[in-house]
Parts: sequence; structure tokens; C-alpha cells
Amino acid sequence: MLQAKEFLQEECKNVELSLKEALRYEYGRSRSKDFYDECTYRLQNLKRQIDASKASDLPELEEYSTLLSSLSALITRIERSHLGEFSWPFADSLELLARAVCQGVNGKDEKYGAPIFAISAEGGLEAYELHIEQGAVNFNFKRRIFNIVFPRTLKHHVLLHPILGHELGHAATTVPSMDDALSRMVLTRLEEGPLESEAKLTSWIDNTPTDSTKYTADMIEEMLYSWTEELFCDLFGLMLFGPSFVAAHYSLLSAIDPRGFDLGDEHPPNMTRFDMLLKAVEILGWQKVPKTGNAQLRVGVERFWKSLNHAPGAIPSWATICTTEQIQGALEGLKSILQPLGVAMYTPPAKDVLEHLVESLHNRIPPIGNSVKDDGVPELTDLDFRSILYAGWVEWHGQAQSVAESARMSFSDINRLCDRAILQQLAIDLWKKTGRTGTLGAD
Amino acid sequence: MAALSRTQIVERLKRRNLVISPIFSSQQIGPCSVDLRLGNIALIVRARGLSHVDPANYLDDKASGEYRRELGRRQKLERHEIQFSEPLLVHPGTLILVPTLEWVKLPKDLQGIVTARSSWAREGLNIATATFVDPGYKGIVTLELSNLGQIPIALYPGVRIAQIAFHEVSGSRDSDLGRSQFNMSFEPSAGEIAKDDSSFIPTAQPKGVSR
Repeated sequence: MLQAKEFLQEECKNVELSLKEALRYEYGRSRSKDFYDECTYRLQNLKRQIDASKASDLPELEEYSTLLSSLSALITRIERSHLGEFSWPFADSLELLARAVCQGVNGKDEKYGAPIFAISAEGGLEAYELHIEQGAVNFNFKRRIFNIVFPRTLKHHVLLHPILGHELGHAATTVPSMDDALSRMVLTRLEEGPLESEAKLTSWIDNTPTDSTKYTADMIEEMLYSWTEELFCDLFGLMLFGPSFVAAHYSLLSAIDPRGFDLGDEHPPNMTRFDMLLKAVEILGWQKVPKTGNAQLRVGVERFWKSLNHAPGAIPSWATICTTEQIQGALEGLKSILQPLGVAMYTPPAKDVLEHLVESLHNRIPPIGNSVKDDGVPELTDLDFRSILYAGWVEWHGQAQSVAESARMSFSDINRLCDRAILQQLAIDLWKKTGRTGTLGAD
Repeated sequence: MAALSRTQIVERLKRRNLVISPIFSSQQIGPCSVDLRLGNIALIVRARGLSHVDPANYLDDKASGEYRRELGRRQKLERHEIQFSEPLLVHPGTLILVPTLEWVKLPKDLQGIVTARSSWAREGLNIATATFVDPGYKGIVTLELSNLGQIPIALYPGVRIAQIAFHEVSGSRDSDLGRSQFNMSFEPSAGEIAKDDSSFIPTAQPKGVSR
């Protein structure tokens, strides 16, 4: 038999071995070393504290047990999820957004160093997640580790990945300066109407098909807090990813809860979330169909928005929880916070750019910022990966129904073309950045 | 059969009647060919995979259904994704399937011919054994890397390692292209060495095959 302290000392050795084993795989250029260094630092700290503890101090040992266990779980999750299990070009692009969000409103996260983003893949449609380390850990760590999780089966389905914009909303609330600004300028706008108090929320629930008496006062209190944050995160994801967030949001949530009526402790009903997002899109003016002679683009954009407006069937009147004025106020708050962060906020692509991207996809070519001019001189242009995603959705909806199904591109093919485009665009960025001095230019 | 000149290639690229994407520099286009760069995936033959290559292992059989065929395909090759600036070491005697970074789309009147860049060939790098790219093809081009030299060679995604030249094909019709006009190839995969040849291949597992 092992005493608690002995067991934890033994487990420290096991965790150390697991951490070393994790080096057997590739996780990305900078991620691997940062992750290893941080985990080693934490483990050494923890080991020192366990060694110094008294075998009879059971509450302290219990705390160390919890910390060691969570470190072990984190290492195992990462070890099993190396390059090849998720779309790393997308993950790299997402990481840039996440870094911009986590730098805080003053350009720095006051309390911790720059976070480490560890990427992993897990099973199931609900796998999309961002495990965020809060500050409530009693031993020092240098940097927080944010674990972004992709569903393994959707590896190449980059059109669905914008849902992670919602998770970045949760991440933003853990950055002190962001949390403060978001609370003042965004969340307060949502905390009106039914989300103002437990009584008003109970009354709102009474108008839904669900009986409010099945919820205790504690549950309603929890719902009030969680729902407000969830709705905020939806708006945050929308402002980060643009139209492709709405499409990914609808596609995934409808697959998980097709009726969209479920009232969860943590999440408001999907119908309520769709209702808010569609109102937000209308306020932002993104549904405008571009004036263009390019029928392919026009039809694609038209059908894209039509499919979202009509997709939930009729959103029932009870579903509305935020008024248009509230949403407008929240969006304005978000804009003023995100705009100074540089790359963070979504900017709709210019008409000719979108036209080029959709046309490329239509011709079964990855949509990137590259064309050949006179005398073979290429033009290489900057392109935001979120424009590629929007073009993907437009092409998916714009494919002519008159064409035989066998000749139409599958959703999977469009995703893979966009995935490939994000990879190629990374190469273009690298080429432009390094000129002829880097690896790409050394030929 | 004449190869397309640089002028003809550029003209087609401009009109997107031929697609090689991305093109980073005008120097990528030679007098009658276009350089191709190493992509980000490597399929390397796995040491503990199949005991030997046998087309019989590529066929379904009654006893195991598709299990044996799929097992063979998956176990034969290790798949690695390589980020930019990370090396891929090609050891002497190994075979590695890699994609090009470029997406290639050929019209129905062009055939592509892929060869090594002579500078790499002089280092012992052999890049292509299946050199023809069919008219109507869309996708990455699979390169079969092998090192004929005696010391390992480090390659990096994005480095120019191959070149493709084009020949006009006359009298081609859509029906000649078959399904290939719709299919796209996103990454290399194991070949279908038994396809349409099952009449000549026994389906029972041959003696001495470990898997």
C-alpha cells in the first residue's frame, strides 16, 4: 500500500515520463517547446511542494493531487493530438486571432505572460472547445496554457471551425483588461430585459414551451449568468469571423439540437441564439447582395443569407430575448474594443476579392491571393483567411442546382479547397515576409 | 509532340486555361516548364508495416472483407505533416510520397510531364517515377522521392524540387476524361496496384505475407 504522499511522488515521476513521451510527436514549431518548458516548470514546482509537505497534511495533499491530476490530463490530451490530427494551417491562423484577443485592451495581459496555445483533437461534434486555465492555481506558473480543441472527424472541415470564435469570447473574459472593458461596454447591454433579473428570466421561460417550475431558484440564477455570457460569446464569435460564424453556428447547433428548443443550465435555446445572430447580421449590413454582373457571386450570397434566414423554419416569437437596440449597443461596444486590436475584427472582403475567391472555388482551385500577370510576373496579395471561409460558404450555396449532382462539389471538397487555400496563403505570407532570405526564397 | 514554350505557358496561366497555383516568382517559370515546390505531407514506408508489396493485399476477400485491404493501406505508410521551415530528411534507400505545394489544373488539351530539377538530381534526389499528369487533372501532384546518394538529404516545404512541362494533346473529348474531370486529389495516397487486374491475382493471402 502507498500513502497519499508516496503515491503523489510516484505519480510525479509518471507525469514526467509522459511529458517526455510527448516529445515523440510534432505539435508545431513554437508550440512544442513552449508547452514542454511550461509543463516542466509546473511539475518541478509541484514536486518540490509535495516533497516538502507533511504526510499527515491531508488537505494540502488533496490539493496537490488535484493539480497533478489536471497537469497529467493536459499532457495526455496534447500527447495524443499531434500535427496531422487537426488542420494546422487553420490552427495557426486562429492562434493569431487568439493572441490579438488575449493581449488585452492595453496591449498586454497584466497578470500573466503571453499564453501558450496548445491544439488538440477529440471525438464528437461537441468537441469544439477552449480549455482555459484560470488564475486560481496556488502554485506559480509562468504562462497560461489555452487548449483549443477540434473535433477529429472534422479535421478538414474548416468552414465549421469558425465556431471557435465563440470559445475565444470565453477566453477574452479571462483577460483582466478585456473582461473589464467587455463588462462595461457589452455585457451590460445584454443584461437588460429578460436577462436583467431572475424574476424576469423566469417570466420569459414561462412564455416558452418549457415549464419554469422545473427550475429551482439556484438554477435560474445560474442560467441568468451563463446565458448572458453565452450570448455575448456568440456576438464575439460573429465579430471575429463574420458570416462564416453564423453558418458554422447554425450547422453545428442544429445537428446537436435539431428542434432548437432545449433550455440548458448553461446555454440558452438555439432558437434564441439564432434570433440574436440574425438580428446582429442585419444591423451590420452583411446581408447586402453585392451589385455585380457575376451571377455566381450574386446567387451565392443571396442563397447563403436566405438559407440562414429561413433555415430555422420560423423562429418562434418567444425566442427573442434581446431587442435590436440591445444588440446594436452590444455590437458597438464590441467594435470599439476589437478595432484597436488589429487583426481581431472581421472585415468583409472587397467585392472584387470575393468575386475572385468564389470564382476560384467554382473552378475547383484553392481560393488564394495569387494570379499571373504579363511576362509571368505573379501578383501575391494579402488575404484574410476569414474571407476564404466566407467564399467557401457562398460557393456551397451558389452551386447551380441545374448541374447534375455528380458534377457539383461536395461540402467536403469545398472545405478541403479552403483548407488548402489557407495553407497556400500561409506560404504566400512567408514568401512576402522573408523575400529571398528565408527557406522559401532560398531557391 | 511539342512542349509548350514559356510564352505559351504564361499566356495560359494568365487566362487560367492552365492553373499552377501559387506561383511565387517569375523565375519559377522556365523556358518550357514550371518549377514545383515540396508540399507539407510525407508518406513514408513504415518499417513494421507490410512484409512485402503484393497486389493480392490490395483486394478484398471473402474472409476479411475490406479489413485486410484497408489495414494494409494504412499500415504500410506513416503519414507526417510538416510545417514550413521544418526539415524532411530523405535517407538513402527510402521512398517518400509527397504532394506539391502547388495546385495543378490541366485543361483537356494538355498533358503534364513531371521530372526532377537537375540541381536536386545531382544531389542524388530522384523525384518521379510516374511522370505523366493526365489532361483534365485537378489537384496536387504526387512526387515519389527517393535518395540515390549515400548521405541523407534535408528538404523543406516550399523548396522547388520538381518541374512540369506540358504537351498538347490533340482530339481530346470530355468523354475521354471520364470521372477525372470531377475528381480532385488533395494529398498523396497509396497506389491501386491491383485495380482491374483481379483476374490475374489470387485473393487468398499468399504464403509469407505477415499482414
